[in-house]
Amino acid sequence: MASAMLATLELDYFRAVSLYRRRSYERCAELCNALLQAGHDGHVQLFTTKEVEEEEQHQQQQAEHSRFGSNLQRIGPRPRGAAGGGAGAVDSGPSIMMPTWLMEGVWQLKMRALTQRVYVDDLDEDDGGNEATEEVEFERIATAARPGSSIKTAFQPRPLTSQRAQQARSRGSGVAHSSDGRLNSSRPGSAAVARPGTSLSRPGSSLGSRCGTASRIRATSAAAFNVGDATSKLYQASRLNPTIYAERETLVKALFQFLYYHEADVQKAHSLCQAVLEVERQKPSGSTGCTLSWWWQQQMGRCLLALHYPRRAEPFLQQSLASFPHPDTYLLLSRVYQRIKQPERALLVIGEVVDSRPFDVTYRLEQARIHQAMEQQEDALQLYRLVAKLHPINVESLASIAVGYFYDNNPEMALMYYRRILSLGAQSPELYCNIALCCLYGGQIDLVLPCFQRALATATQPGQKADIWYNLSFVAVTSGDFNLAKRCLQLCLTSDAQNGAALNNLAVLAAQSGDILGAKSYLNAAKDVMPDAAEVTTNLQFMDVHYKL
Amino acid sequence: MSLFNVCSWWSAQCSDPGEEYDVASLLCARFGLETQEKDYIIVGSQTGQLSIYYPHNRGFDATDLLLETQMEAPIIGLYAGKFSGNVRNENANQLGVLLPNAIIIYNVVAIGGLAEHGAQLRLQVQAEHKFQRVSFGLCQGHFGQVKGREFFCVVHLDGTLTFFEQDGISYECRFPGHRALPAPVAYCERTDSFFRFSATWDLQCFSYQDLSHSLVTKSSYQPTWSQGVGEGIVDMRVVQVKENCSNIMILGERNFISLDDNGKFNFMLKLDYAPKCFTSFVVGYYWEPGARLISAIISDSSKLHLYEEANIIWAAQWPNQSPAPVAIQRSNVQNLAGGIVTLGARGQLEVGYLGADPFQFQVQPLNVEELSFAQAHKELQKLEDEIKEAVDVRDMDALNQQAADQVRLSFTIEQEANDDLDTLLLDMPADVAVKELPSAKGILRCKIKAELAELQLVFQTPNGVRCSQDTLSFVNVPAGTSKEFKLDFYTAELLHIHSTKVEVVASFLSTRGIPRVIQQSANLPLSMFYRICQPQKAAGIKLTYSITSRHVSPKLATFFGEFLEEKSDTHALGLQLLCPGLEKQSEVITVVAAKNSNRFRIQSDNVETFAMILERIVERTLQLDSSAGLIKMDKKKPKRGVLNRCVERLMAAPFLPTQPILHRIDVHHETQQSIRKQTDQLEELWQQFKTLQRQLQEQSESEPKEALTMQIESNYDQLILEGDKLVEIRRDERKQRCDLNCAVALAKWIIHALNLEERVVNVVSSVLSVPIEDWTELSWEESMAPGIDMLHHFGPLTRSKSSSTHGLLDANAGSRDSFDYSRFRRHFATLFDRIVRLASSPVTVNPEKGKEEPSMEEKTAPTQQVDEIGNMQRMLGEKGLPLAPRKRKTNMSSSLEAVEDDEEYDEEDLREDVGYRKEYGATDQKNPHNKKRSEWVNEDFELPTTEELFSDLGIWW
Repeated sequence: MASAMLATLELDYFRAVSLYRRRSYERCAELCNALLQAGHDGHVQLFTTKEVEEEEQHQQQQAEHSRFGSNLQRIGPRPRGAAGGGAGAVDSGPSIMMPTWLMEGVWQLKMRALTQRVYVDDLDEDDGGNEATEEVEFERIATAARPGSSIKTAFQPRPLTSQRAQQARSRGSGVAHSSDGRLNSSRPGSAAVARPGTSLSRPGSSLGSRCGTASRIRATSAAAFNVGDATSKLYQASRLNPTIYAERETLVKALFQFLYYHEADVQKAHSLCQAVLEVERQKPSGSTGCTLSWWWQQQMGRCLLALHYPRRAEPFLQQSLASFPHPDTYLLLSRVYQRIKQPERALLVIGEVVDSRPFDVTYRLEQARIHQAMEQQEDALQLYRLVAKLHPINVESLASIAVGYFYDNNPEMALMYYRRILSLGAQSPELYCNIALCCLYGGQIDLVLPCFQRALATATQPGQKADIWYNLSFVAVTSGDFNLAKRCLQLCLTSDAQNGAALNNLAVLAAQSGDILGAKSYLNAAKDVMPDAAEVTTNLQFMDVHYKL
Repeated sequence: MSLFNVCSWWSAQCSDPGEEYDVASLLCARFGLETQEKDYIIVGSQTGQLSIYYPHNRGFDATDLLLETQMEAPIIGLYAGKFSGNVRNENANQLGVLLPNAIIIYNVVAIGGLAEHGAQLRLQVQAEHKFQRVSFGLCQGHFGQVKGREFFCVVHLDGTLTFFEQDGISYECRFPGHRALPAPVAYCERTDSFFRFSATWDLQCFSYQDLSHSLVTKSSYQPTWSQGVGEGIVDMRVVQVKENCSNIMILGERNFISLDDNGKFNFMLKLDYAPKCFTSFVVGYYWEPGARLISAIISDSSKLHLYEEANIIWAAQWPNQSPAPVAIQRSNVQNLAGGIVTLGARGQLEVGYLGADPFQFQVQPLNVEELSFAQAHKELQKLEDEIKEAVDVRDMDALNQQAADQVRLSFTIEQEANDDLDTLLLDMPADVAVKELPSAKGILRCKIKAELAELQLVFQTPNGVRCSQDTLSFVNVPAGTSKEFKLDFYTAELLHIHSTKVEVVASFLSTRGIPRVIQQSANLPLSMFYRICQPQKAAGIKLTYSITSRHVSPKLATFFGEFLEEKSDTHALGLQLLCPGLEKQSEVITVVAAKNSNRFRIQSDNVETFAMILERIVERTLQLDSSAGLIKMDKKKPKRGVLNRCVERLMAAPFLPTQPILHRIDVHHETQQSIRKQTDQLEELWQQFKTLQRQLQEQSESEPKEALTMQIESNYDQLILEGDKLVEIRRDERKQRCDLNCAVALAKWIIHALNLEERVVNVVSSVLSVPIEDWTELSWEESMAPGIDMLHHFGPLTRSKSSSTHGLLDANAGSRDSFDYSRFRRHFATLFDRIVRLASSPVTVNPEKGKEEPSMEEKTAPTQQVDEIGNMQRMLGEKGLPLAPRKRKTNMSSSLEAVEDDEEYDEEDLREDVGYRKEYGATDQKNPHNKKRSEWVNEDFELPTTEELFSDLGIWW
């Protein structure tokens, strides 16, 4: 009977693995929970024993396991009698012991499932945005002067009177840059934009992106999803001691990814990295890893980059690259150089790998991004075209080309590209918004409002809605309906009260309708939100000079 | 190239529609049953359903299903191969069905169909191997390069391999080290080796020789080579691409990786989608040149990507937005060579092909209803009306009335204090609990007449007093609910309390989202704060009130019912403050009622004792008087020049204990200063702390850290020390703020009953609002300074005689950011001074005395004339003040000896006042602004419009 029970457990484990393989991570985690609960009720100890084969390590391991055993293995003190009744048939007798290896396997599987569920490729994301979220957010807006929203020229219809619109557009264009329509990034030119995250695509991973700064992470950490899960105590990163796990090499990589992607605790992940590298260093050089593992060096670089130590990340990544040419390492290194304002060096690094793998779009895209960051639009566009040739369903390149056309005063061509993206099935409010703007400036007026309608219908995030309303206000301004423009801007503000551009434009509209005091107060509000924006300052100065208040 | 459709050629739904299918559930294979045989498609679900299909033509036909059977255990995998040695037909393959604890080898037997029925298949058990551990997968091949016969090994969940060679010969192979998650094992025929994915995310190669030998020797398994893959893998396949080379294709979780069989990386392609399953195959024959290695990867969003080596050559989408398939095979079915066979997680089996049918994303139609403008306009109108109704604030009285109707509050506090309070339950601090102070009970009843979305009740108590409930919130309150709350009020901190008033504020949102606020107040019994003691004969501060209302009997019992019997006619009452203050010193206040007149004398040494007593006297008088129902006081708006109507009921002697009040302000200010200093110091230490921490972090590991650690420790200790000090100072500050509260309240209550123009009283009262407030950026003094300044320079309380108020204003503006305390203090003092002077001069109480006045006026007028003409404008504001007798003090001195506070008024002051009065008389009629009824600040604290304000100021300029 005991063996039959065991078989059932093992079969459940198999099902969990199968679910994991099929990417049903939620269900996999559920099944794992049940198993873990059963194992716990049977008092299975996690990580307390080791394989017999490793005799010489046995003693030492034993000692340390007893240490962290108390940390990890118990979910909570629970009387044995109660456990038997409560948890059902799986663990109805003391004779059925779940084998430790199974328990550990389930533990690891759940960890992997949780990680994979929220996994976002951090290299897909824009570091620029990452950087911008910290302090330079407004500098970025200020660097590109917004043409035409100053008080004198605000009403000349011209494409994109606002940087904000540009952002909205570029954000939209970047969405779904993966050829898969996974809708997860904001590639071209997006700077001060909170990344839309993958929340749109993957159910259950609505927690936005794993992002670099450890400080912001707590709230977005996926760990919040474990609320109410009795086994969640097995996954408490805060109680984890890196040095203890560093030697368990079968586990530690998965653990790292769990910390980095799921818990989004970069600090912790970093200390784990350090611990592992320390262990590797101390190993006698004769054994398997005579050089330090490229993987850990890469992760070290990744952590340091996310923690904003690009210079310290560089040597790790260089060493990692020397031992193994992993694509991520190239990209990370390129990010490092971009971060420390050496885009030429980034180009060199990427150039190296491009020479050996000329048709890999990953590197070509990175090249194009670097060029774009260096404001070499021509080169960037050429590369994007190349990418589109190599990989015709690459949304990022298509969107970037479209943006290029748009700013080249060629909205019709931009529209073509945007429609192409749409026909690939990447549907997003930003895309609709961009199509609408292209239609507006391309003269296809009849399509403008339906597109905005769609955009509004699909928009879920307040930020998206704010952008759409903001852009709609331009439609209103273009058609001369200032009242509508005002309403649009006010709606934009209801979604995002911190929208400085909208406040500024509202001020201009108010001034135009004679409400000087109102204009002034809007401008002051805008000033509070964006203290460095050139337009706001100019407008305020203009008001000071021309109106006596 | 663009995105194309995967064209469907043949599809079927397997018998089990649950989510029971996985990669290994799909098998395309031949069994060698007929000569022109094409591929059979075999599907086995994890519930044990086994089906064999044989597609003939486009579209599913019932005859395509050749076998359907139910296994007794879940089918973990399906495999086909030459698993049996003794079979005559050398093309024949057996079907291996992998169950959790066994593998069963079946011979597939065809039964020819008659007419329409088509053929059928039957399974004959050829062999069955059982094992203890649950299986995960199977790896088959010509192990040891045996010809004509395939061996297989079962991969178990725990990572062990069980080899089955020949018939029934089996052995187990357990890998050392910790177990990984189960992962597939692949066999490469060319090098006769196994590839295994280890727990450390390495790909390890073991030769078959080693594995089979090590069984005998029990030596450890050493991989031939090992390569780091660096991620978990989804699936793995070995494909022979050339005579001398096989490729290991690995679909990782993020990358698509190809190695050759010597462990050299061919490529590593970063995928920008989430891969689900894949297949790799060679087009052409590997021994011929021109063989192409093609891989098909299915992404999570049902896209099929075809790669040649690492370059994408085709992308296609399954047209219906179905979930992506979990298994893919390339197969030659009848009438379709190279079909793509896919199996969905719910058993959707499909054979498709690539075609140049472009994928067109169908935008979902927006079902936006056609807008009817008339309708929409009507709705908009309605909404706007609603909004207007909600935000129209022109008639505040009606609104408040309406609000009070919606939520009816009745809030009462029992006038007996009691001692039986559960101090533990209320979480009272020990130092307070020890004193066993009396508490009071109150009841709040509220009746809700209209449905409310939200209702919040907040109790506002003076500092130091706490209510057992401080905030109550309700959501979705239906109409007609009535609630009753029993409340306890108790002293929770040992502070001087400035008021007995407890306010309950009910703020609510109607279902339409319209917010309203109503409030009610009640007074705590004085017996909560005082106890009777021996009256004092003399005291430092003496105040006098005279009750002028006919409806209030000037007896102590009228006012202090808590302490005195109704009929008692005691004339002196000594009260001692219960709670606060220094332990040793008792703070006593004495109230004496004059025997023959309607005066009260209130005296004490401490400023703090007064506030509540004065509040009681003033409020009780007004209350009794208005309940007697003579003059409605509150509703009328004060007019310019009207005397303080309070005076008609009770009047205070014009004396303000300026020095004690200023002393309280001084102390409070000093504490504020020291808090700032302390905060700065803390900030400095904190900066140091951060710098040190950073240094510690940036220091490389080799450098010694002792010195730095010591620094950090001492810095930390200091930080804690200074922090504690700050806490201490803040506690003091709180005490002093309460003292100041009492002092300001005292001044306020006196001014309230002074014989002044009502406007002035209102303005001063609104400036001296209690409780006072300190902000982190702005202390009370700083926030008061502009108001006091304003009073100093404009209006009836102007002190300065210089006419250039503009200049003053400018100077004022210049020094705005630097707060000058001495200036503030000076202004404050003169303000009180002015108030007292103003109040003591114009008295209308005794009209007969006024007759004396004109003569006096005439005497002093000439001397003042020169100066006063310049002041004319400024004084226009006071034009409404009636003439008043000068000799008020004689009036006072007659009643009680202590009432004489005459030393405050010297002759000069009086003369000056007289001079003013003449001017009022002279300019009264000429002022054009006279008829304007604008008010400066009224009692409701409504802000005047700018025009009003400007015109008001204009008068004084």
